[in-house]
Amino acid sequence: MSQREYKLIFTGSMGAGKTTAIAAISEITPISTDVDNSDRKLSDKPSTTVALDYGEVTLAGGDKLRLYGTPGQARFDFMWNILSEGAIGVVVLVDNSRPDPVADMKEYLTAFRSTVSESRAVVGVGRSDTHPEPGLDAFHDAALELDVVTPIISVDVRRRQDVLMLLDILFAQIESAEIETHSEQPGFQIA
Amino acid sequence: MLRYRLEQEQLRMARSLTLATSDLSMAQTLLIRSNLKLFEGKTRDHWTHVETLPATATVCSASSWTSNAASMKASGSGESACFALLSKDEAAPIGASSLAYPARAQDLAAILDAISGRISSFATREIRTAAQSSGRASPDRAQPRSFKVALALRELLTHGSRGIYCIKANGVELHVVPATRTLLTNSSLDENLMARLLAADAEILVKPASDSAARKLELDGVSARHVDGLLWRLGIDGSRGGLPPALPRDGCYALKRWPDFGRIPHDRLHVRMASLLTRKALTVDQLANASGSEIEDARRFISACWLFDLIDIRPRLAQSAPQSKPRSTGPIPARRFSGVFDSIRSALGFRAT
Repeated sequence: MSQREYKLIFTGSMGAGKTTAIAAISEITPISTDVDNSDRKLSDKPSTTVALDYGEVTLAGGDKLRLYGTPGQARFDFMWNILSEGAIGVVVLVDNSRPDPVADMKEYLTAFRSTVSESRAVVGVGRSDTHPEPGLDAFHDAALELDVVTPIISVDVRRRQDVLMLLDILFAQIESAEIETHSEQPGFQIA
Repeated sequence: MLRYRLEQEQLRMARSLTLATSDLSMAQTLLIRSNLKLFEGKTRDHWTHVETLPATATVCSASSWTSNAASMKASGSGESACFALLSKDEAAPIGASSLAYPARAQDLAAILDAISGRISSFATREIRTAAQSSGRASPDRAQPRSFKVALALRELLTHGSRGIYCIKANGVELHVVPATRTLLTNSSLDENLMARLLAADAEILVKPASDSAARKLELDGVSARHVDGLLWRLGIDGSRGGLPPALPRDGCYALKRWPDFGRIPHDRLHVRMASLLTRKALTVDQLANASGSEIEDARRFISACWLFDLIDIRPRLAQSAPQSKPRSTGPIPARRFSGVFDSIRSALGFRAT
C-alpha cells in the first residue's frame, strides 16, 4: 500500500509565530526561508518567511504529515490557495500586539474561506498576556460577521503543548462535523 | 511589580430583588410584569415579580399609595420603595414616586434603578447564588455547597468592576479584579486550597478590598494571573456531577462559542464535548453518548461552561431529544479522516484523555 500524505497549513500575519509553531512539532529541523524583513513598518521581526516554512511528522505506516507555513505578507497571497488545496485544515495565528489583530484574523479566515467554512480551521491568538485588548469576544464577533463559527484560543506557540492543543481542537472539530454529517444520514443516531 | 489602583467604587453586583403589585387591575399588573421581562438584565439589579408581600418594592394605585407606603416603611423597606402607577389625569400623591400608565419599560427600569440605589449596600452581605437570583431555580434541586464559591466568583466577574474585590470563604481570601479577570495572589492553587474552597459551607463574603489590603498586595508584589483557570476548576469539581439549578435538567444545550482552552485546565474530553456543542444543541444524555463520556462528566462540563456564560439553552424538539438510550453498538460509518487523526495524535504524543 502506498504511503499517504496529509497537509496542514499554518497561516497568519508576520510575526504571528507560524515558523515557531511548526518548529515546535516538526520532527525535522524546519526548512525555513526566512530573510531579512524589509517591511519593518509592519513588523519588528528581524526576518520573515518570504516563501514558506516546511516541517514534517512521520505517522504510522510511513505516512507523512506535512506542515506548511504560508508567507505572512499579503503580496504572497497567490500561494495561499496553492497551499490550502487538499489540506486537512488550517491553523490561523494572530499576534495580538499588532495594530489591528482582528482585521488580521478576518483577512486570513477570508483567504482560506473554503477550508474554514468546512469547520477545518482554528485560530490561535498570541501575546494576549501582554496585550489583552482586543479580547477574544472581539475576535468571535468578527468571525460571526464572516458567518464563521470557529475555535479562537489564547496561545503561546513557543510552548509545544499549546500547538498540540490547537491541533487537538482542530481535529476534534473536524471529527464532530463528520459525526454530525453521518448522524443526518438515515439510520444513524448521535445518541 | 504589579501596579494597580484601588477604585473606591461601591460594589454593584446584581442582587435578586422583588417587586409586588398592589391594588392594580389585571391589565396594569400584566403590563408591569411584561415590562420586567422586557428589561431583564438591563437594570442594576435583577427584579422579579412576586404575588404577595413582603417585597423589595411595591407598585400600587395612587389611591392606595399612602397605606402601601406606610406598610413598606413599617417593614423596614422604606416608603421610597413604594411607587404609584397613575391612570390618565390622576395626580401623584404627595411625596410619592410615580409612573404614568401605560408605563414604558424604560421608565419603570429607571424607577427600579433609583430604588436599587437607595437600598443599603450589598457589599458585605453574603452573595446570593445564581440559582436564587435567576428566578428560574428548580425547587427540587439544591445547589451543592461545593459550587458556592464558583457562583460568587461568576457573579463578581459578570459585573466586570475595575476595583479589587475580596472573596472570603472557609478561611481563604481571594483578591480578584473582575474587569481584567485577574486573580492577585502569590499562592499556588494547590489541591489543599481547592479543597477548602469546595468545602466552603459557611457564609461567603464578597466585598471591595480595603485600602490597607490593597496597599499590602502592592507592597507584597503579588503576581497577577487569569482567574479563568480557578473558575473552571471550581465548575468542574464543584458541580459534583450535577447541573446548576438555573439550567433545566432536561434542557438542550449548545455553546455560544468555544471556551478559551488556552487559559483553563482541560482534557481531551472537554475538547470533544466543546466541538459537539458548538455544532448542535444536545441534551446531557446525548452529549455523554456522543462524546463517549459519563453523564456526570457531561454535567460537569456544562456547569463549568455556564460559569463562563457560554451556555445557550435551546428549545427541546421532540424528535431531537430522545431519553437516555443505550450507547450505539452498531458500526459507525467510515469517515473521511477516519484513523488519520488518531495516527497523528499518536505520532505527536498527545496526552490521553
